Amino acid sequence: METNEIISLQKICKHYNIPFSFISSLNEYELVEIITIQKTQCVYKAQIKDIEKMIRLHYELDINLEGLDAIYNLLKQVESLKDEINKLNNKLSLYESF
Amino acid sequence: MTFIDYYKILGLTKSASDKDIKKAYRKLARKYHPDLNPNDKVAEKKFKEINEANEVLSHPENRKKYDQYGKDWQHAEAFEKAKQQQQQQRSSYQQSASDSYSNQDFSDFFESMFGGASSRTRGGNIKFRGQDYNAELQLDLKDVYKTHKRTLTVNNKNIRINIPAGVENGQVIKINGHGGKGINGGPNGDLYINFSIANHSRFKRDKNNLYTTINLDLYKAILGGEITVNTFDGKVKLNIKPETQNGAKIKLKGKGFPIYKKENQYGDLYITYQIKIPTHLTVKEKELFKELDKLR
Repeated sequence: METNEIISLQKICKHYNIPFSFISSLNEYELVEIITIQKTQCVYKAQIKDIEKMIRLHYELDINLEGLDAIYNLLKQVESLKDEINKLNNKLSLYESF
Repeated sequence: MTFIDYYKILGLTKSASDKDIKKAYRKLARKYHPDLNPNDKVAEKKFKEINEANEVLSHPENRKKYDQYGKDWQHAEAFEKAKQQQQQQRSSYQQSASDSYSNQDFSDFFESMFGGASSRTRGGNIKFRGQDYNAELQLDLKDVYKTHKRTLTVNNKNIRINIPAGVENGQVIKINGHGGKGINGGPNGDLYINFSIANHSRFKRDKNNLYTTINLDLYKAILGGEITVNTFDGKVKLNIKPETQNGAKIKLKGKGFPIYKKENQYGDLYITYQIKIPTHLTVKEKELFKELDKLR
Protein backbone atom coordinates (compact mmCIF):
# COMPACT_ATOMS: atom_id res chain seq x y z
CA MET A 1 0.00 0.00 0.00
CA GLU A 2 1.76 3.12 -1.19
CA THR A 3 0.59 6.55 -2.15
CA ASN A 4 2.29 9.80 -3.06
CA GLU A 5 2.65 10.50 0.64
CA ILE A 6 3.67 7.20 2.16
CA ILE A 7 6.17 4.45 1.41
CA SER A 8 6.37 0.91 2.76
CA LEU A 9 8.99 0.11 5.39
CA GLN A 10 10.03 -2.93 3.42
CA LYS A 11 10.96 -0.74 0.49
CA ILE A 12 12.85 1.71 2.71
CA CYS A 13 14.84 -1.05 4.42
CA LYS A 14 15.71 -2.69 1.11
CA HIS A 15 16.67 0.61 -0.48
CA TYR A 16 19.02 1.68 2.30
CA ASN A 17 20.12 -1.84 3.19
CA ILE A 18 19.16 -1.46 6.82
CA PRO A 19 17.42 -3.88 9.19
CA PHE A 20 13.77 -3.36 9.97
CA SER A 21 14.71 -3.20 13.66
CA PHE A 22 16.51 0.12 13.05
CA ILE A 23 13.37 1.91 11.84
CA SER A 24 11.38 0.15 14.52
CA SER A 25 13.76 1.52 17.18
CA LEU A 26 13.48 5.01 15.68
CA ASN A 27 9.74 4.62 16.03
CA GLU A 28 10.11 3.62 19.70
CA TYR A 29 12.10 6.77 20.32
CA GLU A 30 9.37 8.72 18.49
CA LEU A 31 11.87 9.89 15.90
CA VAL A 32 9.89 8.32 13.06
CA GLU A 33 6.21 7.60 12.86
CA ILE A 34 5.23 4.19 11.51
CA ILE A 35 1.70 3.87 10.22
CA THR A 36 -0.08 0.66 9.28
CA ILE A 37 -2.28 0.75 6.22
CA GLN A 38 -3.94 -2.45 5.07
CA LYS A 39 -1.54 -4.52 7.18
CA THR A 40 1.49 -2.84 5.59
CA GLN A 41 3.82 -0.80 7.74
CA CYS A 42 4.70 2.51 6.12
CA VAL A 43 6.33 5.86 6.84
CA TYR A 44 5.56 9.28 5.44
CA LYS A 45 7.78 10.22 2.51
CA ALA A 46 8.33 13.59 4.15
CA GLN A 47 10.29 11.72 6.84
CA ILE A 48 12.74 10.11 4.44
CA LYS A 49 15.19 12.99 4.74
CA ASP A 50 15.28 12.59 8.53
CA ILE A 51 15.59 8.82 8.22
CA GLU A 52 18.57 9.22 5.87
CA LYS A 53 20.17 11.62 8.29
CA MET A 54 19.77 9.14 11.14
CA ILE A 55 21.13 6.28 9.01
CA ARG A 56 24.24 8.36 8.33
CA LEU A 57 24.71 9.37 11.95
CA HIS A 58 24.16 5.82 13.20
CA TYR A 59 26.18 3.89 10.65
CA GLU A 60 28.89 6.40 9.78
CA LEU A 61 29.48 7.93 13.19
CA ASP A 62 28.44 5.05 15.47
CA ILE A 63 25.93 7.22 17.29
CA ASN A 64 23.54 5.08 19.28
CA LEU A 65 19.79 5.61 19.45
CA GLU A 66 19.92 7.62 22.66
CA GLY A 67 22.43 9.90 20.95
CA LEU A 68 20.24 10.19 17.85
CA ASP A 69 17.29 11.13 20.03
CA ALA A 70 19.30 13.87 21.76
CA ILE A 71 20.80 15.17 18.49
CA TYR A 72 17.48 15.18 16.70
CA ASN A 73 15.85 17.25 19.41
CA LEU A 74 18.80 19.64 19.67
CA LEU A 75 18.85 20.16 15.90
CA LYS A 76 15.16 21.02 16.01
CA GLN A 77 15.92 23.55 18.73
CA VAL A 78 18.77 25.02 16.66
CA GLU A 79 16.42 25.36 13.70
CA SER A 80 13.76 27.05 15.75
CA LEU A 81 16.32 29.42 17.30
CA LYS A 82 17.61 30.32 13.83
CA ASP A 83 14.04 31.13 12.76
CA GLU A 84 13.61 33.23 15.87
CA ILE A 85 16.87 35.13 15.19
CA ASN A 86 15.73 35.79 11.66
CA LYS A 87 12.36 37.12 12.80
CA LEU A 88 14.02 39.30 15.43
CA ASN A 89 16.53 40.63 12.90
CA ASN A 90 13.67 41.57 10.59
CA LYS A 91 11.87 43.28 13.47
CA LEU A 92 15.04 45.05 14.58
CA SER A 93 15.41 46.61 11.14
CA LEU A 94 12.09 48.37 11.80
CA TYR A 95 13.69 50.39 14.58
CA GLU A 96 16.99 51.09 12.88
CA SER A 97 17.36 54.45 11.22
CA PHE A 98 17.30 54.66 7.45
CA MET B 1 48.07 21.39 -5.95
CA THR B 2 49.63 21.48 -2.53
CA PHE B 3 50.67 18.62 -0.33
CA ILE B 4 48.10 17.73 2.30
CA ASP B 5 49.25 16.30 5.61
CA TYR B 6 46.46 13.83 6.33
CA TYR B 7 48.00 12.84 9.66
CA LYS B 8 47.96 16.43 10.79
CA ILE B 9 44.31 16.82 9.74
CA LEU B 10 43.38 13.93 12.04
CA GLY B 11 45.74 15.17 14.76
CA LEU B 12 47.94 12.08 14.50
CA THR B 13 51.57 11.15 13.87
CA LYS B 14 52.82 8.77 11.22
CA SER B 15 53.14 6.00 13.80
CA ALA B 16 49.37 6.01 14.51
CA SER B 17 47.72 2.58 14.59
CA ASP B 18 44.58 1.71 12.61
CA LYS B 19 42.67 1.97 15.87
CA ASP B 20 44.05 5.47 16.50
CA ILE B 21 43.01 6.57 13.00
CA LYS B 22 39.50 5.20 13.41
CA LYS B 23 39.16 6.84 16.81
CA ALA B 24 40.47 10.22 15.62
CA TYR B 25 38.24 10.16 12.54
CA ARG B 26 35.11 9.29 14.53
CA LYS B 27 35.83 12.02 17.05
CA LEU B 28 36.37 14.74 14.44
CA ALA B 29 33.56 13.51 12.18
CA ARG B 30 31.11 13.75 15.08
CA LYS B 31 32.23 17.32 15.57
CA TYR B 32 32.09 18.47 11.96
CA HIS B 33 29.53 16.17 10.28
CA PRO B 34 27.25 18.27 7.99
CA ASP B 35 24.14 16.68 9.53
CA LEU B 36 25.20 18.07 12.88
CA ASN B 37 26.26 21.45 11.52
CA PRO B 38 23.54 22.47 9.05
CA ASN B 39 24.44 25.41 6.79
CA ASP B 40 27.91 25.73 8.33
CA LYS B 41 30.33 26.14 5.44
CA VAL B 42 33.42 26.00 7.68
CA ALA B 43 32.31 22.70 9.26
CA GLU B 44 31.48 21.33 5.83
CA LYS B 45 34.97 22.13 4.52
CA LYS B 46 36.57 20.65 7.61
CA PHE B 47 34.47 17.49 7.31
CA LYS B 48 35.55 17.03 3.71
CA GLU B 49 39.20 17.28 4.78
CA ILE B 50 38.66 14.79 7.60
CA ASN B 51 36.79 12.41 5.32
CA GLU B 52 39.51 12.60 2.71
CA ALA B 53 42.22 11.96 5.32
CA ASN B 54 40.28 8.96 6.58
CA GLU B 55 39.81 7.62 3.07
CA VAL B 56 43.56 7.57 2.63
CA LEU B 57 44.76 6.51 6.05
CA SER B 58 42.12 3.90 6.83
CA HIS B 59 42.86 1.90 3.69
CA PRO B 60 46.18 0.03 4.08
CA GLU B 61 47.04 0.25 0.38
CA ASN B 62 46.33 3.99 0.17
CA ARG B 63 48.14 4.67 3.41
CA LYS B 64 51.19 2.73 2.23
CA LYS B 65 51.31 4.73 -0.97
CA TYR B 66 50.82 8.00 0.87
CA ASP B 67 53.53 7.13 3.40
CA GLN B 68 55.88 6.04 0.65
CA TYR B 69 55.65 9.15 -1.49
CA GLY B 70 54.64 11.70 1.12
CA LYS B 71 55.74 15.18 0.14
CA ASP B 72 57.11 13.88 -3.16
CA TRP B 73 53.64 12.98 -4.25
CA GLN B 74 54.33 14.45 -7.69
CA HIS B 75 56.45 11.37 -8.39
CA ALA B 76 53.52 9.23 -7.36
CA GLU B 77 51.41 11.10 -9.88
CA ALA B 78 53.89 10.40 -12.65
CA PHE B 79 54.13 6.80 -11.54
CA GLU B 80 50.36 6.47 -11.44
CA LYS B 81 49.97 8.07 -14.85
CA ALA B 82 52.30 5.52 -16.38
CA LYS B 83 50.42 2.74 -14.61
CA GLN B 84 47.07 4.14 -15.70
CA GLN B 85 48.19 4.34 -19.34
CA GLN B 86 49.02 0.65 -19.23
CA GLN B 87 45.67 -0.13 -17.68
CA GLN B 88 43.79 2.01 -20.17
CA GLN B 89 45.30 0.05 -23.04
CA ARG B 90 43.96 -3.12 -21.48
CA SER B 91 40.50 -1.93 -20.54
CA SER B 92 39.66 1.31 -22.26
CA TYR B 93 36.03 0.31 -22.64
CA GLN B 94 35.52 -0.21 -18.93
CA GLN B 95 34.30 3.21 -18.03
CA SER B 96 33.75 3.61 -14.33
CA ALA B 97 30.29 2.66 -13.19
CA SER B 98 30.65 4.93 -10.22
CA ASP B 99 30.03 8.18 -12.07
CA SER B 100 27.09 8.85 -9.84
CA TYR B 101 29.44 9.32 -6.91
CA SER B 102 30.52 12.91 -7.12
CA ASN B 103 34.27 13.44 -7.08
CA GLN B 104 33.98 17.07 -6.15
CA ASP B 105 34.21 16.33 -2.42
CA PHE B 106 37.87 15.39 -2.70
CA SER B 107 40.91 17.56 -3.24
CA ASP B 108 43.02 17.63 -6.41
CA PHE B 109 45.79 16.15 -4.32
CA PHE B 110 43.61 13.14 -3.48
CA GLU B 111 42.48 12.73 -7.07
CA SER B 112 46.03 12.81 -8.39
CA MET B 113 47.24 10.24 -5.92
CA PHE B 114 44.35 7.89 -5.59
CA GLY B 115 42.40 8.44 -8.77
CA GLY B 116 38.61 8.51 -8.97
CA ALA B 117 35.91 7.24 -6.74
CA SER B 118 36.59 3.57 -7.27
CA SER B 119 39.02 3.39 -4.40
CA ARG B 120 36.43 4.54 -1.94
CA THR B 121 34.05 2.40 0.00
CA ARG B 122 31.98 4.94 1.83
CA GLY B 123 28.32 4.30 1.33
CA GLY B 124 28.90 0.91 -0.33
CA ASN B 125 25.97 0.09 -2.58
CA ILE B 126 23.44 1.99 -0.54
CA LYS B 127 21.49 4.56 -2.52
CA PHE B 128 21.47 7.97 -0.93
CA ARG B 129 19.94 11.24 -1.88
CA GLY B 130 22.47 13.72 -3.16
CA GLN B 131 23.70 16.49 -0.93
CA ASP B 132 21.39 19.44 -0.40
CA TYR B 133 22.81 22.71 -1.70
CA ASN B 134 22.32 26.07 -0.05
CA ALA B 135 22.46 29.33 -1.98
CA GLU B 136 21.83 32.92 -1.01
CA LEU B 137 19.90 35.20 -3.34
CA GLN B 138 20.28 38.91 -2.72
CA LEU B 139 17.36 41.03 -3.82
CA ASP B 140 16.02 44.47 -3.19
CA LEU B 141 12.65 44.96 -1.47
CA LYS B 142 11.17 46.38 -4.66
CA ASP B 143 12.20 43.17 -6.49
CA VAL B 144 9.90 41.08 -4.34
CA TYR B 145 6.90 43.38 -4.59
CA LYS B 146 5.82 41.53 -7.70
CA THR B 147 6.04 37.84 -8.60
CA HIS B 148 8.77 37.36 -11.18
CA LYS B 149 11.08 34.77 -12.67
CA ARG B 150 14.84 34.79 -12.25
CA THR B 151 17.67 32.65 -13.57
CA LEU B 152 20.21 31.38 -11.07
CA THR B 153 23.48 29.65 -11.75
CA VAL B 154 24.15 26.86 -9.29
CA ASN B 155 27.16 24.61 -9.90
CA ASN B 156 27.40 25.79 -13.51
CA LYS B 157 23.76 24.94 -14.15
CA ASN B 158 21.18 27.59 -14.96
CA ILE B 159 17.93 27.24 -13.08
CA ARG B 160 14.93 29.45 -13.78
CA ILE B 161 12.85 29.93 -10.68
CA ASN B 162 9.65 31.70 -9.84
CA ILE B 163 10.01 34.20 -7.02
CA PRO B 164 6.61 34.81 -5.46
CA ALA B 165 5.78 38.33 -4.35
CA GLY B 166 6.00 38.86 -0.61
CA VAL B 167 9.05 36.68 0.06
CA GLU B 168 10.57 37.70 3.38
CA ASN B 169 14.15 38.48 4.31
CA GLY B 170 15.74 35.26 5.59
CA GLN B 171 13.02 33.06 4.09
CA VAL B 172 14.23 29.81 2.58
CA ILE B 173 12.55 28.13 -0.35
CA LYS B 174 13.27 24.61 -1.56
CA ILE B 175 13.78 23.71 -5.21
CA ASN B 176 13.33 19.95 -5.47
CA GLY B 177 16.01 17.89 -7.20
CA HIS B 178 18.44 20.73 -7.93
CA GLY B 179 20.97 19.76 -5.25
CA GLY B 180 23.87 17.33 -5.53
CA LYS B 181 23.63 14.23 -7.64
CA GLY B 182 22.32 11.11 -5.88
CA ILE B 183 24.80 8.51 -4.68
CA ASN B 184 24.68 5.06 -6.27
CA GLY B 185 21.60 6.01 -8.28
CA GLY B 186 19.77 7.67 -5.40
CA PRO B 187 17.67 10.78 -6.06
CA ASN B 188 19.22 14.21 -6.35
CA GLY B 189 19.35 16.48 -3.33
CA ASP B 190 17.41 19.71 -3.10
CA LEU B 191 18.46 23.30 -3.51
CA TYR B 192 17.63 25.64 -0.66
CA ILE B 193 17.57 29.32 -1.52
CA ASN B 194 17.93 31.78 1.30
CA PHE B 195 16.56 35.21 0.42
CA SER B 196 18.58 38.18 1.61
CA ILE B 197 16.37 41.18 0.97
CA ALA B 198 17.88 44.62 1.30
CA ASN B 199 15.53 47.49 1.96
CA HIS B 200 16.61 50.79 0.41
CA SER B 201 13.12 52.25 0.36
CA ARG B 202 11.69 54.79 2.79
CA PHE B 203 9.31 52.12 4.05
CA LYS B 204 10.01 49.74 6.87
CA ARG B 205 8.54 46.27 6.58
CA ASP B 206 7.17 43.93 9.19
CA LYS B 207 5.84 40.84 7.43
CA ASN B 208 3.08 42.23 5.15
CA ASN B 209 2.76 45.63 6.72
CA LEU B 210 4.72 48.70 5.74
CA TYR B 211 5.53 51.67 7.95
CA THR B 212 6.57 55.15 7.00
CA THR B 213 6.78 58.62 8.51
CA ILE B 214 5.76 61.73 6.60
CA ASN B 215 6.33 65.36 7.39
CA LEU B 216 3.27 67.54 7.81
CA ASP B 217 3.47 71.31 7.93
CA LEU B 218 2.12 73.02 11.02
CA TYR B 219 -0.71 74.87 9.30
CA LYS B 220 -2.06 71.73 7.58
CA ALA B 221 -1.89 69.89 10.88
CA ILE B 222 -3.87 72.64 12.60
CA LEU B 223 -6.35 73.55 9.88
CA GLY B 224 -6.58 70.25 7.98
CA GLY B 225 -6.45 69.81 4.20
CA GLU B 226 -5.33 67.47 1.49
CA ILE B 227 -1.86 66.04 0.88
CA THR B 228 -0.39 63.57 -1.59
CA VAL B 229 1.74 60.75 -0.17
CA ASN B 230 3.89 58.05 -1.73
CA THR B 231 2.87 54.45 -1.14
CA PHE B 232 5.06 51.53 -2.29
CA ASP B 233 3.39 51.40 -5.69
CA GLY B 234 2.30 54.95 -6.35
CA LYS B 235 0.80 58.14 -4.92
CA VAL B 236 -2.44 58.55 -3.01
CA LYS B 237 -4.32 61.62 -1.81
CA LEU B 238 -5.06 61.89 1.89
CA ASN B 239 -7.39 64.14 3.84
CA ILE B 240 -5.77 65.58 6.93
CA LYS B 241 -8.15 66.14 9.80
CA PRO B 242 -7.96 69.55 11.49
CA GLU B 243 -5.93 69.56 14.73
CA THR B 244 -3.88 66.50 13.80
CA GLN B 245 -1.35 65.80 16.54
CA ASN B 246 2.36 65.13 16.12
CA GLY B 247 2.98 61.35 16.04
CA ALA B 248 -0.60 60.57 14.98
CA LYS B 249 -0.86 57.35 12.99
CA ILE B 250 -3.20 56.34 10.21
CA LYS B 251 -3.68 53.03 8.45
CA LEU B 252 -4.10 52.69 4.70
CA LYS B 253 -5.74 49.32 4.25
CA GLY B 254 -4.32 47.13 1.48
CA LYS B 255 -1.49 49.54 0.68
CA GLY B 256 1.19 47.41 2.36
CA PHE B 257 3.27 44.56 0.98
CA PRO B 258 1.86 41.59 -0.98
CA ILE B 259 0.99 38.57 1.14
CA TYR B 260 3.21 35.61 0.21
CA LYS B 261 1.45 33.23 -2.18
CA LYS B 262 -1.89 34.98 -1.78
CA GLU B 263 -2.60 36.67 -5.05
CA ASN B 264 -3.90 40.24 -4.91
CA GLN B 265 -3.87 40.33 -1.11
CA TYR B 266 -1.84 42.99 0.59
CA GLY B 267 -0.94 44.08 4.09
CA ASP B 268 -1.52 47.63 5.34
CA LEU B 269 0.51 50.81 5.23
CA TYR B 270 0.91 52.68 8.52
CA ILE B 271 1.75 56.35 8.25
CA THR B 272 3.03 58.40 11.17
CA TYR B 273 2.73 62.18 10.89
CA GLN B 274 5.68 64.24 11.98
CA ILE B 275 4.71 67.86 12.29
CA LYS B 276 7.33 70.31 11.12
CA ILE B 277 7.58 73.50 13.15
CA PRO B 278 8.42 76.49 10.94
CA THR B 279 11.86 78.02 11.44
CA HIS B 280 13.35 81.45 10.60
CA LEU B 281 10.12 83.23 11.56
CA THR B 282 9.71 86.81 10.39
CA VAL B 283 8.94 89.57 12.88
CA LYS B 284 5.35 89.62 11.67
CA GLU B 285 4.97 85.85 12.10
CA LYS B 286 6.38 86.02 15.62
CA GLU B 287 3.90 88.77 16.50
CA LEU B 288 1.00 86.71 15.17
CA PHE B 289 2.09 83.62 17.14
CA LYS B 290 2.33 85.78 20.29
CA GLU B 291 -1.17 87.01 19.62
CA LEU B 292 -2.39 83.43 19.21
CA ASP B 293 -0.61 82.50 22.42
CA LYS B 294 -2.44 85.26 24.29
CA LEU B 295 -5.76 83.92 22.94
CA ARG B 296 -5.04 80.47 24.49
